Amino acid sequence: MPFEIEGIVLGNRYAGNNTVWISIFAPQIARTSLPGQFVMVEAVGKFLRRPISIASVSGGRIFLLIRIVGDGTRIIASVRRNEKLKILGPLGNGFPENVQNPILVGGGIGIAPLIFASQRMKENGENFVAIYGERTADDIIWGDFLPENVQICTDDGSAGFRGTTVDLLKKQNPAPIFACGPQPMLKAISEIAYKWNVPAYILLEERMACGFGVCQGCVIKTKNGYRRVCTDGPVFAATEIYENTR
Amino acid sequence: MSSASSYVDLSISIGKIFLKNPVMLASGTAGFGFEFAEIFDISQIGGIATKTITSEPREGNPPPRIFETPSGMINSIGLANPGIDKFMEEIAPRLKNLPTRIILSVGGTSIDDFKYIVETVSEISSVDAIELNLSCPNVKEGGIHFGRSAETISRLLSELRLITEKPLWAKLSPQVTDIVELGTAAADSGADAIVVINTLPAMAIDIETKKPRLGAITGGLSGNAIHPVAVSMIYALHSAVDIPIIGVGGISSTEDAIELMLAGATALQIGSSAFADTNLPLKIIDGIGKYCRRQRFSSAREIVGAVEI
Ligand SMILES: Cc1cc2nc3c(=O)[nH]c(=O)nc-3n(C[C@H](O)[C@H](O)[C@H](O)COP(=O)(O)OP(=O)(O)OC[C@H]3O[C@@H](n4cnc5c(N)ncnc54)[C@H](O)[C@@H]3O)c2cc1C
Ligand SMILES: Cc1cc2nc3c(=O)[nH]c(=O)nc-3n(C[C@H](O)[C@H](O)[C@H](O)COP(=O)(O)O)c2cc1C
Ligand code: FES
Repeated sequence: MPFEIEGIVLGNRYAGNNTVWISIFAPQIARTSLPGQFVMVEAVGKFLRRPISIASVSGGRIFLLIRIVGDGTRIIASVRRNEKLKILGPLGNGFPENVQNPILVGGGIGIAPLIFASQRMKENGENFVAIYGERTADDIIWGDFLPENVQICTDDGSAGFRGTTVDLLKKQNPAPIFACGPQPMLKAISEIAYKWNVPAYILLEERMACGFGVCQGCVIKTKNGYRRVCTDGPVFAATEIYENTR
Repeated sequence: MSSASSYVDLSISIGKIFLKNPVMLASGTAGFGFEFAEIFDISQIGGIATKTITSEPREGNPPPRIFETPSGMINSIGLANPGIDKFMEEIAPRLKNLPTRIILSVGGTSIDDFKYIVETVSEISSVDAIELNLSCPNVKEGGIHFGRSAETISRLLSELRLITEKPLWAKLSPQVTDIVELGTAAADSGADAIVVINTLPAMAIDIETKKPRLGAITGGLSGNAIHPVAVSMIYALHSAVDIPIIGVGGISSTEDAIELMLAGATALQIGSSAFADTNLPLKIIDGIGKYCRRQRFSSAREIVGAVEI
């Protein structure tokens, strides 16, 4: 059940590469959120809210990691302490809770929901491997915000492993995968999961109007026809989206 | 805190149905009501107009289906809906759990198709009124919207009037040269109310890729941008027809709602502006009460058509 709240912004810190880490007082949402779920966040002056993953929760606060890519994210990222934002959430289906020791793979800002996933796993005493990739060292989000022991990769090798998240994933021992990032990355990861004979769960993005299932605006093509990213996802089994995957 | 002197009667009647207040949710922006019912107590609003149901299931248009504009949005959902059979089996039985007025929106591809669907849904006791989405292409007449021809509207309404006891609300298309002619045709042929306006035709292009922003190329504009169009159409209809008008189009505040009522709307439907604040309908109900107190109206009905020319 989503909550419509006016959340007070408790902090807004720069996190590197045009990205901010915002904390919002939203106790009902913090209490009920699962990794992979998102909130619709007001961008003051814009007609529609923007979908943003819950990147962490602590006490009555939720944390969002937001990269500026256009007007809406620029407005949200410029919010100040003590200002209020209209927020609806938690929304959508998170990552499955019964998967043991997964590999978390985040491409670019796609790392956001996996930070929350890693936090929960640590709390539950589970083992996990986390991989995070960007183009260059300059694009990387500052370490304080990233999962512990995260393995970093860059396309040009300017930080961490030289290569893509997919290249780095191939070096791991086979395990179920949770991934979020650009679509080509998700497709390649789904193919690895097929070869490894393990499940992959991917978090997909689409433009949204309502975020809670009423408008049919956010659909993507799946093997079962059009499905809404906001309520049927945003986490889908790779098998539902791509051919030659399991 | 309400004293006897500040009591405002927000209730209104649309023909034989009674609404506790004039504020409803618009078709296609509230699903079948179940999602909103999880967010707030929907017994507080006047009613909900459901997503348009057609006789065949419709998958809808290819994505992207929405694009935000400076003061609204363009959608090309393409009437995606499960179709009448699945609706009757899976959704209709659950409607009775919704403690508000249910206005069932239906669409058709021909007069016979409309007759079939209206006859079918008339059996559902929890449906309080049937809203006819006249922005549907009439396949037999070369795909022209039903809502574009006064003659077609008259024939459709006259035939439907004979097969259902339920109130029939005609939701007109605003893509017309003379809305009054079409509204009059609906009123004279047995419609219980007129609903205006649906979205306006719109398109957006990405100048870098030179591709349309929507998968279906064009779509319908809603939100603040279309509000003044709704005001003018409702104003024009109000002096021409004697059945109630339900005002829709860009209501994003109490002021917008009151404006449509002053122009002649008896009741209201809120659409895409509730996406950014699902509590908007409740805020507007509250706002209408406050406006009445400020204007010393004892009933919301006194606002209807009260524009001073
Ligand atoms: C479930 C979900 C979770 C998300 N989580 C986060 C997150 O944690 N942090 C974060 O920074 N971003 C996240 N996003 C993406 C974020 O919603 C978009 O970046 C934002 O809506 C863009 O708005 P804008 O006005 O800034 O950009 P616009 O000016 O609208 O667009 C700028 C660019 O972003 C693309 N874009 C626009 N909307 C979306 C969208 N909904 N999904 C993907 N691309 C889009 C456009 O095609 C364009 O290339 C998430 C999206 C979804 C669907
Ligand atoms: C996403 C979306 C879907 C819609 N679907 C329908 C529909 O199925 N049937 C219908 O009669 N109107 C539909 N409409 C039109 C609305 O009911 C309403 O007439 C229009 O959006 C104007 O109101 P607004 O500006 O408050 O959104 C839809 C509008 C939107 C934004
Ligand atoms: S954004 Fe409205 S249904 Fe998903």
